[in-house]
Amino acid sequence: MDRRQNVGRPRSPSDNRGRLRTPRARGSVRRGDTGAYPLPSRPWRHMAGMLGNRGTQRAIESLRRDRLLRAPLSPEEREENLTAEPYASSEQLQNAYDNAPMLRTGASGEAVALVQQGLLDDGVPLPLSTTQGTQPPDGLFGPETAQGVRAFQDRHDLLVDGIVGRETLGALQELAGRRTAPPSGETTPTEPEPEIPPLSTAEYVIQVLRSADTRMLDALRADGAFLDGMQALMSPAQFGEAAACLCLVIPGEVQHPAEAKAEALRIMAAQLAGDPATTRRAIDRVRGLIIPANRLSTDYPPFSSLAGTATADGRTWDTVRGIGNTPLGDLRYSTFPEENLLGIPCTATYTPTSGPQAGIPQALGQYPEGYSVATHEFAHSLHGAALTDDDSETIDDAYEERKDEAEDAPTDTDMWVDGREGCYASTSVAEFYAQLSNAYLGTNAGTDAVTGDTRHNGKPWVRAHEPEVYGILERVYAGSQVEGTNPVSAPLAGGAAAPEPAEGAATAA
Amino acid sequence: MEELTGRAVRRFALYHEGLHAATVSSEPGRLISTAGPPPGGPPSHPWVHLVSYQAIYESELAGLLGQATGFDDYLQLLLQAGYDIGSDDLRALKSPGAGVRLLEGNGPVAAAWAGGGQCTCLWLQPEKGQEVYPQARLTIYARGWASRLHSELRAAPDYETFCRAVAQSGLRLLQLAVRGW
Repeated sequence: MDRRQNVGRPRSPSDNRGRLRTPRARGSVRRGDTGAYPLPSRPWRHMAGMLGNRGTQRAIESLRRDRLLRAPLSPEEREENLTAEPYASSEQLQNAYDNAPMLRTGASGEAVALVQQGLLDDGVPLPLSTTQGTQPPDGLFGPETAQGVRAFQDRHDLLVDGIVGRETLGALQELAGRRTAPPSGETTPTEPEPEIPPLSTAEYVIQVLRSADTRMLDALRADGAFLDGMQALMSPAQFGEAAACLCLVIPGEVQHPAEAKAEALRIMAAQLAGDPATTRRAIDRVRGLIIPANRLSTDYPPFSSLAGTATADGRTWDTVRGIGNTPLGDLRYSTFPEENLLGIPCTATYTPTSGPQAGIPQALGQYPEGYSVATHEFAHSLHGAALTDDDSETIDDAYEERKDEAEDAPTDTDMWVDGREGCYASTSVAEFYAQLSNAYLGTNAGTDAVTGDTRHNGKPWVRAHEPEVYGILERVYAGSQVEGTNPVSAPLAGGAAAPEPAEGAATAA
Repeated sequence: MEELTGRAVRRFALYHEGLHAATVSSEPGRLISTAGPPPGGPPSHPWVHLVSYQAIYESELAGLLGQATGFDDYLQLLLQAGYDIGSDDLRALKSPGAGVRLLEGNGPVAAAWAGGGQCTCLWLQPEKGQEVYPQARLTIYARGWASRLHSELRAAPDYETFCRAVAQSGLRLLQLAVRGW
């Protein structure tokens, strides 16, 4: 995978809104991907030193070792030797080619000088090792050479660790062979490798977080110094991206983990792109949990306590896909149904054990294209656990005013964001805010399940009709636009498109 | 308190374990779940309008509602089940803040929250803006304690003094969790 696809963000921290308006980069995660994102190529230890406490550093270092430690060579592999000069005649480099031992920081001598020259020939600058280019390489494997090796490894898509072994020497040898190959008639000019812009430290941290496992994320969430460092280092939008990584929980049963993760992170990052103080509270208090398309939401804590119990209106919670702001300890969880993230069919079913439908499996989770359960539920959790009391009061006042107005014009379809009085948004202040969030983000497509009115969707309506709440949304979401949610006509994961959505079945919480 | 004109429709916030579980009104209305409206809309109810804010309490709220004979009976069942009841003057999803449940023996007779608000009884809720005190937001559950608690609230300069005075009157104070919505 071309790692540049994962860093396709504007370089200017001030251009956050532009980034979030960017449509989904469908190429960023390929079908069938199940592993982590490719690791960035910046020095791990450098990041560990900049951010976080010793626990974080240990976690990062541990991850680095886990991922980057090379396997020993087989006897057959050790039979292979460097064959191209100037490397072939160096015994030390032949040993390094067998990884026994590799060249690393602290080494010195002719072999190091040959590597340094190879780096220079490939355009890697080593000003200290060459006295600003006035002297031959000094043959000392210090920090500059290690950094140069990393740059070389990154450029040639090798494991990036700053250590010279078989892979790196193989690449140096291949380049040396190309440079010394005699011309043979007409030569085809090779296209220059496109320049890969270096990652900033903030971007690097985000890439690390995207690749991190549960253990590492747990360590980072608990590391106040790391969070402080991120908040100070990053633009609000970058901090939102990082926070999204820390707030997302992905069960092992998710059917398309890479695609679902990418989409969930895109959504969460948009909703955490603004005010860093709100984002920080979200890191401390809010989690989004992807519900696999073939599982019930009540299969997973904290929603498992709802299994077999009834909603206030007499349904069973097992049939509900969207649930928001549900406490477990000090955290508030929201569901991110996988099928709604990816536009795939929900294959989970619920079979009642009593009543007229007993024994008959019920299909769940049909939503119209462009309607996001995830943004709605995540808005609930942010409302409940990350907004301030003043924000809540402002939202309450706006809701009460709207209820009063609706009494005088109950059939006005422009009254609420979902249409006339009685629509979803009119049922409570919580749904009012969550549906306004959806409209602001552009994820409120479709018609209201109760009134049948077309939902309003887009910032202009919110700004014109609910200016006070719009101010809060602007502060928290910072202009974010989330395009193409629930793409049932072009699912992000393999498989057939979902069946035609049944409006009446759309149930978000 | 008794000489005040009460609202035609009483509306209370229900708290459980410090979380705002729901809001209930003494009027014919609908049962609103956090799970969003079912096809056809939320079901109607002859004497209560209930808006739930926490999924985890909905089953219990619905169960108690099924047992209740009327709005006042429902409030009593909620108290017995460990809910605390506050006047709705505090905006719905704003954190109720620090509070105490006032108990006579093990029976709750009132609840008070710091930060000020309306003084109300379960059976008589003043109009919005009436009986608002900066010292505390007080809901009286037991008729026998209404005058005494109302007087203590008016006499106390602040929340702490009110709590001390109530404790001296023989009531037990149980600190309430603060978790918000």
